[in-house]
Amino acid sequence: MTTESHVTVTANSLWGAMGNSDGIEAAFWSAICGKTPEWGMHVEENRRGNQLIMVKANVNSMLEWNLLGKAIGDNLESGSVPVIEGEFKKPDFNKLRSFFTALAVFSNCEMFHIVNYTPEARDVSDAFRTKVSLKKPITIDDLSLVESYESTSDLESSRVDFVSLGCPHYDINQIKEVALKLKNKKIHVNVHFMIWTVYPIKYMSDENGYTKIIEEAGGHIYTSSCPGVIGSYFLNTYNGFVVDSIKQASAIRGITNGHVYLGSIDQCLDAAVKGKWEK
Amino acid sequence: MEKTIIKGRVALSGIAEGRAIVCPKSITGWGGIDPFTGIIMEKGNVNEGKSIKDTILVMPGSKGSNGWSCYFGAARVAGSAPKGWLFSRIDSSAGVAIAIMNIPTIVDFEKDQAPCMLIQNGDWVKINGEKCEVEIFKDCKENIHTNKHRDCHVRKNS
Repeated sequence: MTTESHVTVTANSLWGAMGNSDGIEAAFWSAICGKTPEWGMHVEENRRGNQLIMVKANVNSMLEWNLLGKAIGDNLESGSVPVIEGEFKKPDFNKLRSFFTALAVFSNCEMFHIVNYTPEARDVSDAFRTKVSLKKPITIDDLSLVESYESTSDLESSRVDFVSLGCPHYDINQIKEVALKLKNKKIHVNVHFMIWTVYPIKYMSDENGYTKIIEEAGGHIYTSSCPGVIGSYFLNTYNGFVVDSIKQASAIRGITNGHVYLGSIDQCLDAAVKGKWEK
Repeated sequence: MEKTIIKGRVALSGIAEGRAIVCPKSITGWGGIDPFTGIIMEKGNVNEGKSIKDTILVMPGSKGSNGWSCYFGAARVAGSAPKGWLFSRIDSSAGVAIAIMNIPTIVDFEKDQAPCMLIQNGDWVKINGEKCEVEIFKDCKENIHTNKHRDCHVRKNS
């Protein structure tokens, strides 16, 4: 049981766990009872792929994996278990969890196969457990990624006062990357710059001196929540938002009327220092 | 009056009727609805700006956050819940949300009876959980924004 959306997809797809998205209430019910209904992804038959996705887009960066998650999620029928094939470089864990986060926001997908990569998809027939895909294949190309971007990010330049990184929460290597890039730089005086992680990672960051560098630049490391969870009372005190997560971008666009920009770490840091998003 | 009847599986029994609001791409949890008013806030949703309050809400399944049920549960607490719910196919988040909402709900329709395909916004829909049946009346022209659906009523099984 988990209350974090992408963890369901990640645990099912990468680690062979058997879990359902359920809901926060059900996590408490199961914690109290010590039991949970046996259905959905607990049942081997339901874990089979039923939707082939042909990826013909150039997917490599964290941002592109974010956009791929939305592009696929937007095109999935309810209840799909996708299987993706394509000529892309195999993603590292951080790109994958970012991808699963986006996928979990824009669909109800709970299980995902990447052919020759995830453990229940040693090849296409293994992923489908049959010889053929059951539904018409979906093709994702570069245009699909552009559409994902344009539907979640503003395109015109404007001033920004809110920059948030870390959805899913950053690991220590991502915090280190930000710290090294912010060394001897200053966050714009009007910008609230935040990195979100969990407390043990924050502690490691403190011990390694990364927190000090980020704070000296004018930024903050916060733990165990995120802007979308804090909600409208917090978000509506800002006007221009920059995030590196399509999940946050989508939530903030639903909650506020401000400009919302989605970018890479470098684009986000550039906006944080300048106090402005530039095309 | 044109009437269509479709059959599914009862997830939560009871009888409810009201105007349909049909979300073929579901509604995302986070930032998807304003629980206080029931208004759909999700950018790009075909029903953005409309309220789910007192409607028969029709969707293929859940979408998004593991907290999906919480947002609908908050709407229930705030008095902005739909009268009834139809899902083409139940999934785990939908199942929890149904339990939280405690409104008559029918799920798992045959593919050629998918409610998102057969029902349109504004149709008058009656859910009969005792017969696993949904009656769709196509000639209702009232706009769901006008609050003329106040005459909706729900009789729940005790």
